[in-house]
Amino acid sequence: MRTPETIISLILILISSLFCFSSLKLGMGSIKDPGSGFIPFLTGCSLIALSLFIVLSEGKATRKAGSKPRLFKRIGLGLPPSLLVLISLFIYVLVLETLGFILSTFLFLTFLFSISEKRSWKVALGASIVITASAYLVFGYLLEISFPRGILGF
Amino acid sequence: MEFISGIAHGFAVSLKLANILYCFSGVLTGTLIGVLPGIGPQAAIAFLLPVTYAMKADSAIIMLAGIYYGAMYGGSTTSILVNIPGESASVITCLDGHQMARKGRAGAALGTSAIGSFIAGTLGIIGLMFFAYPMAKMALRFGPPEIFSVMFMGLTLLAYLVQGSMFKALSMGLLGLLFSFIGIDMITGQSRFTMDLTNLMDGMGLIPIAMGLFGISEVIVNLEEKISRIVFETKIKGLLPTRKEWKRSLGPISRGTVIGFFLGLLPGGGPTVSSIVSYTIEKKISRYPEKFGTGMIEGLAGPESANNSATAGGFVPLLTLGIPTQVTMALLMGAMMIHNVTPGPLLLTQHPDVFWGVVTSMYVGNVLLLILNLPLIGLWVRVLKVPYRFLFPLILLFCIIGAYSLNNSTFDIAVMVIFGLVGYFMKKFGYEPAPLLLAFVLGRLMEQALRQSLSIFHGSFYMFFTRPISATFIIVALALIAFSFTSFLKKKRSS
Repeated sequence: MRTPETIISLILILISSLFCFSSLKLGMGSIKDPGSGFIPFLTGCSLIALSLFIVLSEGKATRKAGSKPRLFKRIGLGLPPSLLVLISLFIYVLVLETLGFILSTFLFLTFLFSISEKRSWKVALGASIVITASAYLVFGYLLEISFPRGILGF
Repeated sequence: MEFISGIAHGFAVSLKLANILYCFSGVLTGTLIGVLPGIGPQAAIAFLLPVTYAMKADSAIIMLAGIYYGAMYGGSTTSILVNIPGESASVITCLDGHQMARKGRAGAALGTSAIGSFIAGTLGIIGLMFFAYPMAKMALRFGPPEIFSVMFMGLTLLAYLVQGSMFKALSMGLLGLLFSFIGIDMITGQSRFTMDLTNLMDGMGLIPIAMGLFGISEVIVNLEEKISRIVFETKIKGLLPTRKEWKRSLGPISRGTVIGFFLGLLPGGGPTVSSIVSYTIEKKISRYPEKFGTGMIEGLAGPESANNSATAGGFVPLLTLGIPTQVTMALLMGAMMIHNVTPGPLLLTQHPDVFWGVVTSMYVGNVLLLILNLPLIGLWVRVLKVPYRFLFPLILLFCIIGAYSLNNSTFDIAVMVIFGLVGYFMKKFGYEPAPLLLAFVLGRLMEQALRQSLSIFHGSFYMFFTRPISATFIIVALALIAFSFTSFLKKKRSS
């Protein structure tokens, strides 16, 4: 029963139900004067109906075909690079305000280069320093984007 | 007269030195993006947006539009030489274009593709000029019911035309609509679905969502695939096709132009679909259909022209109705909004500089591309050899800076990363991201139009069928949904 379509449809049903409940709280108004929740409620209900239809029909079809894509494929030893990149992106978001743009970007890039680079750490470090510095100069200095300063203070 | 003076005004704007330079940098970046596999024009426009903040609206849109049609040109180079399409609209070019290269006609294939693209792009722009003006005039008469029904039809048609299951596409469309409702309700001022987060009061940003769905997810998917880039080592000589090849290409180029332009007008019928349709037609009417895929110039000239004129066609509904029919158009719409320009029927009167300037700049851009593409092929081939492991950290960094710079907020990066994860799963399980994004763009406008219609007509849905324009749109949309359901049920019964 647990085809990807079924799982995704169940997630969609959950999300739409949350929207529907909040819409009811917001107020539906009347058909002559629709309230804030009226159209989100209708949209949520339509998505629930459609997801149920997909669960009942398309899920079966996929199961028959037996096609199951592989998630986060491993290439060589260790964790798959796709998963590592995703995790590093989430960590970047979490530490950006605290560490500041320069430090977090430098660490992030060094990590990315090191997982993909089979060469030495020197290449990874060098490339990260050059790219972080250029990005800060172009975007932070020339285009005047105020990046988070963090612990370094600039 | 108004039309001619508009064009003259447009050229006055697009031929300003600054705008020529912006157009040039746009088409150059676009070609580069098109050449590089693993990064499409959508992600490129999204992450280059911050560069345009300091520019004037017309210059910004001229540059961003240049990226789009430049990418169409660049994509063909990789398809022909490496058999790897730089972006989806060039997939079909691989079939005969690469075979031509293998037979020693790489130069002619590149030349035909550039010339075909130029002719189609130019004719497409002329079509755009002619269509946009009367359409904008007509759209001025649209009331809320017409606005709602045209958007409803647009989204349904998009779900119908995208690859894969229509039901999955529709569900993504509905999800996009739900996301668009997050934020303050424009009519009552109530905050909706914000979970008390101040960052969500203005709703989620289009650009972080687009960068997540099309930029981040693409990088992650690419990391799982080995991109082999063995450049076809051949001496590229004689970029001009022979007289015989030229004669054989003319028909496909003209057919491709017409097909591309009209398909480009439809939601979901952008460059990719039109190149496939053009190839299919050329194969059907050819006297030697069995030879397609072995290096037939017709199979290259047609699709290459179609994907370029489709780009021009796609601008018509955006500039005149304010309805993006492709993801790239949705991003351009977002870019216009950032520069306080609302695309739609009023664009022509309120911002003639942008309207005519952008339209005519595409002509300038096409000339620049022709000059640029042929002599720079050697450079593009060298660019192709840059390994992906060097590129992807840069792409991610650009996306991060692009998302952050919208509001100087880490929240937008978080939205982008979350949608990157969502996009990854969607790609893996065959859910199309385009309906989600377009529905997200149109959601609020649709809701507003529907609520206004219901208030004006005292809650009657009947009025959608009494007004001829809205009735046509609604009936087409309902027919598409009904047709999909019945054909699905039939298929199920027969299996």
